[in-house]
Amino acid sequence: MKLEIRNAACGYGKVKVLENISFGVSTGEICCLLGPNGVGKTTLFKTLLKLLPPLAGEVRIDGQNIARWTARKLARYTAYVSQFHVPPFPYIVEDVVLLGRLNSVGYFGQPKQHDYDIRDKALADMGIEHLRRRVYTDISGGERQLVMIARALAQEPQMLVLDEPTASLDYGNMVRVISQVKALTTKGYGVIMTTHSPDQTFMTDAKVVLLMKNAPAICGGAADVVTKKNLKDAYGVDVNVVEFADANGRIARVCAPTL
Amino acid sequence: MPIGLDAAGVPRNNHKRYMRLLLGGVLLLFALSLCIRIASRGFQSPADVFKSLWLWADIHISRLTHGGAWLNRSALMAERGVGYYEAYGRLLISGVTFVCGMLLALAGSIFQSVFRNPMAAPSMLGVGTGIQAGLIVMALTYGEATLYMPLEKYTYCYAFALTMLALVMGVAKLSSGKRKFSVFDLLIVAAIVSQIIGGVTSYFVYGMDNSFALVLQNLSNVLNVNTEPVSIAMLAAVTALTVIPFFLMRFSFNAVCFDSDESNSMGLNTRVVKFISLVLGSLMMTAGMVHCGAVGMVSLIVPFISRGLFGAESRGLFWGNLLIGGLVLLLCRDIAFFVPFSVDGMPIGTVVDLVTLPVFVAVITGRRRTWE
Repeated sequence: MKLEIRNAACGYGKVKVLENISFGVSTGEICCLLGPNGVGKTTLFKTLLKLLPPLAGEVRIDGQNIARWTARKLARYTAYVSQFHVPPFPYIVEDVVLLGRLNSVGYFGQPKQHDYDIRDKALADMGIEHLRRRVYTDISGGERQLVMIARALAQEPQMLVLDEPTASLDYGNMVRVISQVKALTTKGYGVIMTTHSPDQTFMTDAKVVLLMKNAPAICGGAADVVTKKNLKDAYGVDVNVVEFADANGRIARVCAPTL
Repeated sequence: MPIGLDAAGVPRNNHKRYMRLLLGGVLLLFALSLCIRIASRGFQSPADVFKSLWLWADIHISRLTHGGAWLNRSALMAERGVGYYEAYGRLLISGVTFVCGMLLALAGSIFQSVFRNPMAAPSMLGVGTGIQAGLIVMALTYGEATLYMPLEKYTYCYAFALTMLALVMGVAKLSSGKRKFSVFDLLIVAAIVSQIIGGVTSYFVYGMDNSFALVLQNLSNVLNVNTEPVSIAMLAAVTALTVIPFFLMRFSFNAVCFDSDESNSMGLNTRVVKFISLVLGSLMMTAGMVHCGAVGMVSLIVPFISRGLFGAESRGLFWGNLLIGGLVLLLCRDIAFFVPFSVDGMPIGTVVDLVTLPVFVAVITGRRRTWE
């Protein structure tokens, strides 16, 4: 599956937040959206998910414009995990993950054994089977993020759309979530995610779309896009990109801001 | 230790056990409730109640075939004496009370989920104000004849409650303009519209002469549950109209508790689910208030208990709310009957407030707050 956005303008009503955005992501790839606060990352996500109509251009899945697709049809291809998702009531983790089957079950249906099996597989894929009987509101932020990704997997999509999956996580949880996200691409899923950490583009060897205020977006491989100059243009701060050989002898990169 | 949790804070999967206990409790309380005398304080024996209800069923079945029980009904009923009428009366009272408790608890659960707030009450959208306005319009239109027009009374109550809901939703939609319509818009508009309508109805009540005021007071007299045939028929219709759709939607209903963008991306239109939920919840609340009186506290407190026992997932909550809601209201009704407050006992609303108070205290002082 390939998700493409072509010459799109995104925004609310008549207010354009982003213009001339074009890029594509295939299954098995990770695409990171980078950019400063307020640049329109979430707006772009909502356009991709058909929660907002594009003000110009189009969004295509496998060459088909999704403008006339129903939410139900789109949900068979993409699954979304938002930044803020603390339910007001203490759901059990396995019940949260089962909600990923809402699309298949419909308004008036009830989950069947097949749906429970898919839920169990999603829990296993994210390595959180031990959490299944825990109360969702009691577990840590990183665990919640993995639960929500499992919920998205239970939807059986081909592309996951993750809005800042590591926001407000501690370092350990951030690494755990990113490694699970990276592992998903080896299982055939495509991932589009926003992040405020350029390092994560290197960790995941991602395709990068760098969004900037008052300048066209830059798309390409992490090594080509996440450079000292582009980060300065995007964020207005000095950041060095340092290369080194990791424990396996491969070239790795990290960002080191100059204070 | 909070109900339903083990030492590690992991919920025990005791749902079936709780359900069996609840069913047993409901059956026991219902049987006890049927034995309560109406003509005097005290109880009939369960055997007498059973015989009376058996006779009642026999008469009504043989009515279809013009059988012996139907033809000799006067003699048979006279033979059983006042106990026959008491058992039949208690069956209606207990049945209506139980169903109203079910509806109120479900309504509370719906509103708390849609507003994503465990303190949300189904009266928030102004159905109570609508009912009051309906009674006033009827009293002003028909005068004392109002007291002998039960069908019209229910029609006015339901019509005004639903009109109020439509008014609140319509104004909220208009006020939100092209912005995304949110439940918070709905709350603010509901508060304003309720205040305005409440102010107008207060003006009319204040200006009423004594005879009209007496009619209104009698109309609003909710010490006793309504068991007229038209009340039972209307309650049955509203119960079927609201509980069946909610039963069918009990899994998809979970979507309203989550972020709406996320739920929409799961392929469900949460606006549709929320709209259906609010209409069903308001209808249930109206039914509870119209057929059973000022017992709205049940709608606030029962979902707390139900979540504590069955978790937050709507499918378990559905059955929990049905049984616990019915059980709590029936218990309050029976307690109210025995408190020597007046000829009819104590107002059930007061008993409900007193009985539910400890649960509120437990919730506020509880170590674990998330199960709210």
